[in-house]
Amino acid sequence: MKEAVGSPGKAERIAAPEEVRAAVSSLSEAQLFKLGQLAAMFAYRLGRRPGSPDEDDLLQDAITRILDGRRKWKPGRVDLVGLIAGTLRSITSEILEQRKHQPKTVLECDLPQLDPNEQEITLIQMTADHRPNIEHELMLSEQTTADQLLGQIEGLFSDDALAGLILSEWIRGSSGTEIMGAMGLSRQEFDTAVRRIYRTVRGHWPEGMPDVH
Amino acid sequence: MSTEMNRKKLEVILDHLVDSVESTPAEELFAEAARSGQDTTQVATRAKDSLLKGIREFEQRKLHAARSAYRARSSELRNRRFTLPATADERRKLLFNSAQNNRLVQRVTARFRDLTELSDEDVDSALEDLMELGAFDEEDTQTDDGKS
Repeated sequence: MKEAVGSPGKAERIAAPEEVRAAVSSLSEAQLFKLGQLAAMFAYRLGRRPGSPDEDDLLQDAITRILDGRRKWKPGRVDLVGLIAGTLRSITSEILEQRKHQPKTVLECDLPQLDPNEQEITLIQMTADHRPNIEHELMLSEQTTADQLLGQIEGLFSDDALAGLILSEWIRGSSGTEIMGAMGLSRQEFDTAVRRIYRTVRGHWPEGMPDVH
Repeated sequence: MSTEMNRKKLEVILDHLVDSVESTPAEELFAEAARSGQDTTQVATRAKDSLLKGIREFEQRKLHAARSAYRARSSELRNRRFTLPATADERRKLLFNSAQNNRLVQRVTARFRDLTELSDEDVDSALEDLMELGAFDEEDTQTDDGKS
């Protein structure tokens, strides 16, 4: 361990790589599974976008932030799994915030197939030329809208009353505790239903949800 | 209902899904995933590999930065050596002249009783030591006492 740069007199320390490696190596399979699941969910939350990180990128970024001191880990005092989970959340929030200030891009796989006889319009051309373009407008009109995507998600649970109700309550702004209280669910029943929702959504869009406009 | 509202609803759903995993104890999550037939070992191994790879890459970046700094310093020293006069006589003259008006050179050469008795190898060695100490770096701007 060494003193963090720029904090003279303070007891804040940056964990050395060998110390972090030993801690990672001693995590249980269940803890690693949870981190893997969380990273996958945050990557999924970021959706399909050019340059979007996958779960491996997110985990590597999180551990780098702990090693370079951007996130402080106090061995023995701070739970490493909790710290990595919190760091994954921060990274995801940062990316979502940055996206608010970036021009929108569209993945080629989210665009409708073009007639092979027609000349193809590249993403670079679409990004560079912002003048009205009939073909571009047509493509965007065929890209999934938020309304359509929401309808598709609700449709996935048309035969699962509990999951459908939980989704509706979330959208209304209810918390998990409120939903459990209103529906008389135990924590386990609620959590099981929520994870069923996740598995169903993930199964329907395995590569992440399409970016909507 | 506006598209923007629906976009927010989608985000709410995704955030709740993430929260549910984050708030569930690892053992419970693991047991349920195993029961549902998920390949838990594959997910855990992949997560561990990614974390260890992140640590390895961090160490390599640090090592690379240290190596680059060392190479830059070595290259700088090599470049300085190339500025040594070409002949032994000229190198000896440089040392004598410097010893008369550069305090740092005087300190380094003080161990020799008589500079004229130095071998050519001793002169070269003394000059190289002085160059590494930076004795000739700012010779043009130094005064007699070695201060800028």
